[in-house]
Amino acid sequence: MTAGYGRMLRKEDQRFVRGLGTYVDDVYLPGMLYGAVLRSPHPHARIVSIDTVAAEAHPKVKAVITGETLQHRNLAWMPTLSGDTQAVLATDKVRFQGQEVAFVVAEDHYAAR
Amino acid sequence: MRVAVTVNGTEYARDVEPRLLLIHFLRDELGLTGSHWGCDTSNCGSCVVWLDQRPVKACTVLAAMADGRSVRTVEDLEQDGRLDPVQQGFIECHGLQCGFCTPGMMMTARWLLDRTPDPAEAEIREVLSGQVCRCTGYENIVRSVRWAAEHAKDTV
Repeated sequence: MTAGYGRMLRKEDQRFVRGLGTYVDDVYLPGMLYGAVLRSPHPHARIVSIDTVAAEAHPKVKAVITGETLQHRNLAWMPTLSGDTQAVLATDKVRFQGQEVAFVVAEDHYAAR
Repeated sequence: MRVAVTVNGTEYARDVEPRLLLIHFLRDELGLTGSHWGCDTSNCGSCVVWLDQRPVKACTVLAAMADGRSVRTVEDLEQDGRLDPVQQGFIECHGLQCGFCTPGMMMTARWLLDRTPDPAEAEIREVLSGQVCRCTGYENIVRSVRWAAEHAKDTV
């Protein structure tokens, strides 16, 4: 039990066990905005339309981005490390449950969601 | 609305939205980022803190529900410059890799050891069953808690 432990302890554990790690979510910058991803509840479905009007009207929402938004800028698909392409946000249809459909940017967590 | 919560022995009063979750109160209002916002669905347990001496998932508690009550977070485990044996156990037994789940794991483990100073492995696994680690598996986490039990005399 004990033979494998104790001789090489990790230096970074000192801050992690004190709650002093700095994860991305721990970074606070003045004026920063929050993002939230809307994901598909369906495993395979055509996207007929996405109504963004209410979200865009929210006073704390800065942007509502859909696959269509990205398509206009030729950004809807991205290359992957394995050399194929992957949807950034779904355009014509979703291909798995949980696929990213829209991205909202807002002044706080709750408004983004 | 006004809420006053005693966190790690200090009372903090803040005006907050009624819908504000305790985890965001701790992280965004008080800057105590040791407790993590993981899944937001009460599955992962990265946000576990004590509310009046009991571990709770702070993403399922409204800040308003903590009004007038006391909260203890990972930042309070170390006392007078001495790590809690649970913290030391996680270091000694490599109970963490990325460390994201660790604060919640340790708060639950401390609660267990306060009630059951010499828990069996099965008890440790049961009490931590509401918390998820995606790095280590649970073997070293259980060992870490056992280490803390065996070094309880070091408790401050």
